[in-house]
Amino acid sequence: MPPSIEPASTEPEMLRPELVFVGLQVGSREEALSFLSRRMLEAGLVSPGFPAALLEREKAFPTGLQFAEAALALPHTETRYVLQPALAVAALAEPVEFLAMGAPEQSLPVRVIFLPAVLHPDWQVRWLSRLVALFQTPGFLTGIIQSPNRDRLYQSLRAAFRNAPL
Amino acid sequence: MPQKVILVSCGTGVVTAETTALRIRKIAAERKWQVEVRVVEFRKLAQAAAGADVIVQIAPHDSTDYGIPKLSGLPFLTGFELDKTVQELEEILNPPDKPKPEPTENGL
Repeated sequence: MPPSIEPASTEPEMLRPELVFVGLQVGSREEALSFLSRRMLEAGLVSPGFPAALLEREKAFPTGLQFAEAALALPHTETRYVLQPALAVAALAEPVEFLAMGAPEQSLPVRVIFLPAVLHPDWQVRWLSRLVALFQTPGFLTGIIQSPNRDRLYQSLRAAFRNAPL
Repeated sequence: MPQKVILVSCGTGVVTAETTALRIRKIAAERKWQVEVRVVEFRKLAQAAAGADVIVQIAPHDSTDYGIPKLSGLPFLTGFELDKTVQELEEILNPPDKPKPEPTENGL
């Protein structure tokens, strides 16, 4: 039996080239989150309260996660600040410290940030679950960190999302 | 065998817990566990624990004793020590028929 693959048309396009960043220079997690959330605001994807809500939530519930290949952060907010589902992805020039999800006494040197703007929780959870599976796939995070430029990273992320199993 | 219940909870909201629950459901299906995986808000955990067998939690500093075993949900997200966690979960859901003998008093 062929694997069931959902038609791409049922899923809104999360990924946008203008929200993919390679070699992003930031001095702190706050700076990283402000930069990315403002880009989402400028693109009209989130409401004006989004950047502040994102920082607040990261403070209260840190989102650093240590995977085998690298540490990443998966910051997010409640759905009410989101106008359109989207994803910002950043490969950082230098690691910045994020506190660990579920273990805020632990600090992680984060090289990659995935910032999803969540609008439809049900659909988004399935999508996030696929993302988590990708993070565990050998070579995926290393590939992001080593991406030479935005276009290459955008294209490889698109291909990875298309092929990602649940 | 009666169906066992796994509760999944995160610090706030439910997105992280829902994502973790989906990973657990996938593993449960692969291993043919007879389980129901329920996502519960943190503040309703104590209430829900009464009808459940195990809690999988992603929340810092929750030292509450809910009267049932509690495991970290992080391995389901990161894959780190996932095999070990799955094995622990399996042993909680299906305890071996003959429990290991208790360590003797002078075991130390």
